[in-house]
Amino acid sequence: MPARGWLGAGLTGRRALIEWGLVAAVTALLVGWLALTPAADRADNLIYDGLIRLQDGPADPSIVIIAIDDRSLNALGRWPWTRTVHAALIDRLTQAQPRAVAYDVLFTEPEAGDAALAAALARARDVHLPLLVEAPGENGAAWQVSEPASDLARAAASLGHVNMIVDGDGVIRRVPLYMQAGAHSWPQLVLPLAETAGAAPPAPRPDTDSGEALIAAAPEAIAYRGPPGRFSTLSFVDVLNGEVPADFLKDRLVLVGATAPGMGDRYATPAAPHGELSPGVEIQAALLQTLLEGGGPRTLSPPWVLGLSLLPLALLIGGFLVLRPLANMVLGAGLIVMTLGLSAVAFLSAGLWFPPAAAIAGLATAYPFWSWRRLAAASAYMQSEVEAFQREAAPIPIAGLTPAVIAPRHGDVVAKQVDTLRAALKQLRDLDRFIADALRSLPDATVVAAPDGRVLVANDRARALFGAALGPDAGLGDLFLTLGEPSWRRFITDEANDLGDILAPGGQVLKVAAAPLTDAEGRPVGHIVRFADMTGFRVAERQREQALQLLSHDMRAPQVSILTLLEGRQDRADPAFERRIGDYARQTLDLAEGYVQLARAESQPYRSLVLDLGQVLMDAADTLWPQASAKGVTIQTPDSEEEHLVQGDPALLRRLLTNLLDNALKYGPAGGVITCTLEGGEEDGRPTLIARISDQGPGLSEEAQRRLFQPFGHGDADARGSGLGLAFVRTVARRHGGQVIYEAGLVGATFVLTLPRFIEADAA
Amino acid sequence: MKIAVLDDDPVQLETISSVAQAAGYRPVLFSRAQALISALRKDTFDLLIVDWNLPDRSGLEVLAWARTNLKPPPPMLLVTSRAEDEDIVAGLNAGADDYLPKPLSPAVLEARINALMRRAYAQPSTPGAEIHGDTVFHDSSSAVTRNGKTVVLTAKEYALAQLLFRNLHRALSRTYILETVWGNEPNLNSRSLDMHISRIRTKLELRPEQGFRLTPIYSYGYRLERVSAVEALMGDIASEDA
Repeated sequence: MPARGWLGAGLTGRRALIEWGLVAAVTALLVGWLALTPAADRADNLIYDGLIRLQDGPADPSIVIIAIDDRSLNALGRWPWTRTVHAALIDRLTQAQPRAVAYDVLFTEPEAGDAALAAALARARDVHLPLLVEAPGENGAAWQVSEPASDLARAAASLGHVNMIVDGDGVIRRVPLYMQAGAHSWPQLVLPLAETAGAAPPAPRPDTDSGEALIAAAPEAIAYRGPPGRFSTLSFVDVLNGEVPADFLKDRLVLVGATAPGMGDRYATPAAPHGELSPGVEIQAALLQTLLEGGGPRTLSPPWVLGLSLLPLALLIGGFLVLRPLANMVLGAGLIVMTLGLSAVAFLSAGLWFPPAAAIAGLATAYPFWSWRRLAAASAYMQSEVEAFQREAAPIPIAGLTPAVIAPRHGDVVAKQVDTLRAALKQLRDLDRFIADALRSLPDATVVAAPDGRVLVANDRARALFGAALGPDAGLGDLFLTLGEPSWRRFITDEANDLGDILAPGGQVLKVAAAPLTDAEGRPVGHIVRFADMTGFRVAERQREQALQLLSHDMRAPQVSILTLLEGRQDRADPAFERRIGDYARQTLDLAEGYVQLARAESQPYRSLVLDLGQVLMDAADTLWPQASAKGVTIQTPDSEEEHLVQGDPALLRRLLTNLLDNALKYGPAGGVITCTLEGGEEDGRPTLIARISDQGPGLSEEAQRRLFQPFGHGDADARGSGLGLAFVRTVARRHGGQVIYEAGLVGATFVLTLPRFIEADAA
Repeated sequence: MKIAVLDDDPVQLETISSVAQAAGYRPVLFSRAQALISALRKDTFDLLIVDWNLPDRSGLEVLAWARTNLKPPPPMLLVTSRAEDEDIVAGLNAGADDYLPKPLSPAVLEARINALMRRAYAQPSTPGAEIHGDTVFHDSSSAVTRNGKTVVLTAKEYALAQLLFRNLHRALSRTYILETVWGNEPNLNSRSLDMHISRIRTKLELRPEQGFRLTPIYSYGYRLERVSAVEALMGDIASEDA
């Protein structure tokens, strides 16, 4: 298919549209599945993590981490430390007057120093402790909560959960702000700290639909600002020992937690360099900063994700219909880049997260999928066209013209199709060659012309006939002018092809026949014009006409004069002698007339009138009445009111019957009877008329019957005549769609003429 | 009555001349068409008998010339040795009033000459009964008496029979018959004429055995002949054939 500019892949055909719809449906389903299920999460997370890393920034200076690090462990002994150590630290912090403290250490088992710690917590008033929410719980419970010992819990400012959402790749990207189970709801540990700055989002409505199941509600994506270690970090032991300036912690948000690698509580985060784990307290700090900054990136709701994922796909699929393949490829690549870019821009500037993997997967799949289906459709189309071409390439059976020489191969479909196409093309070339050869070697001068008369193809004989007139830009007008004909169109539009001959200046007699050429849809595409050289034919025709003229007039005239002379003689010296001369003259006349009649009956066009064969038979009998009465013969014709209609030439049929009667008269005895009958009959389901003419003569020998109806082969050896009469009878009967046969009877001879009967309805 | 005879064959010329003289006419003989045309410019003839094939011009041209230049044209009889049906029609269509193939039979020739003369120069017949030899036409009753038998015909059959008898021995074209008998009647089946001919042939027994022959002329029309005039010659030929 030729390219028509940038637009116009020119999709045509139902098959291609069906394929297009298939591609659209399949890719849309793929995108929907990827967009609405976690299937593409890993790919989306990769992009998400990259975008998170781009959000590198300073840590919030109001957040301080007091780290239970290796140094502290070295200084204070192995973990777990006694509650009094923690109580001491809390007292230190209370003196430093931070705004709030989240103490990310679990005190779930009761211990000896709990009272001291509870006292310290009570003095501090704004220290928040973690609790442990787990699912499933013990003994078949859906979940269980492990709170700190009761006096600690009472002394703490609040209790908050420290559960995190671990993605499929083990990375912490979001943290639920609340854990909920039925009517229970536990806020995140650092939420109260954010509240002190007025930056906590409102608590979500308890989700009662989920029953008693534990759910992570209000997940907040953490906007990590760089790898772990950015926050101001003090060593536990340093704070405990009072080595930190007293006002350093004043009005700050303090997080206490473990950072020592040996203590567990380390997780993978998007911001951490590859392979490095982030302590849990760092994640809490990052969450706190996120909350203080007004929240992390918000993921678009599923309908939006679905819609935005389908939009670029729709653009690309739409482009398939109108764009060229290269343009489609460029469009696809552009849409992928644009989707990624828009996702990044929305993330970085508006804090909106649109997972682009579904859309990109759709875009990346659609193009190859479409290309494949398109090729398949094109291939199937080509295959069917080739097969149709081979099957129906009408009037010349090309498969027979050039038998398929390429043995069918098994295996690759494409290789098979290539073979088929090659075979078809070979056949086409052979056909082309065959037609060209056939035209070139046509026995008559033939040209093929466009509808405006421009000559497209001419064969060798046409070149010989027209010579220089058949130049490169010759038209039919030029050709007819060389023949002395000013108008060519009347020959082309002459459908009956009966415009007569053209006498060319070179002396040839040409008969022009034209046929319109149409294409497969029946539109006129030109004319094929034949100039048949009738010169020889016309010369022969003229000679034949001259011969007939000689016989029908020039030879007759002297015979007629002989008869007239004999007739006019008053004194007959030798009557017998004169009669013989007269007989011979009349015989010559009969011969000439019989010959001319036979020639005319064979070649001339017949008239076709409806006539009554009974009347024709009566006419014939009347014509022969003088001879019959002289011989004393009675001709009995059927005497009935009924008409016996046939369609034919009245003069020829009368002569036919006259010849048969004449025959009967000649060979029947003097004083005898010639019986004529007419009756209806039927042959092959068609009505016929049967005329029988019987004489009472001796009949014909078998030898004579064989040679009957042959000109110059008369039945009776000693009879005069040439047999031209019966040859005439047979010719006329056949040309009227009938026949005449000889029927030997007990007495005499019978000739039976059968003609198709004319039925009145035929004329309507 | 003066008859111009044109034929290049002296034998034929002599035969026609003797038949005409015997019938009481004055024949003037020509052997070239141009000579006849020159004579026609100066002289008046009551009948032309013209041969088709002539050395200088075709007999058909002479007929056409006479039709165009003589007012009114005299009756014309074409004689020729051409015997083909098409030739007969061509000759009649060229303007001949009748046609006769050679060899000429003196009896037939005389009958035809008389018919043409009677047709052209006939006296008006008496109304009431019209008599043609042994056949009497009774206008009042549409009846015809032949050989003592009276046959009643329909109006059209009567008109057709009367037309044929009035033009005995003369070729009548189908068009002429249709116009004369049927007028300009529309919706006339082309078979009607043939069927009427067939009926009067049966009713009036117009068969050679009864002395009359009704002959169709190839694609031209019909001619009614009295057989007694021709049977002698033809019967003679036939008997000699046998």
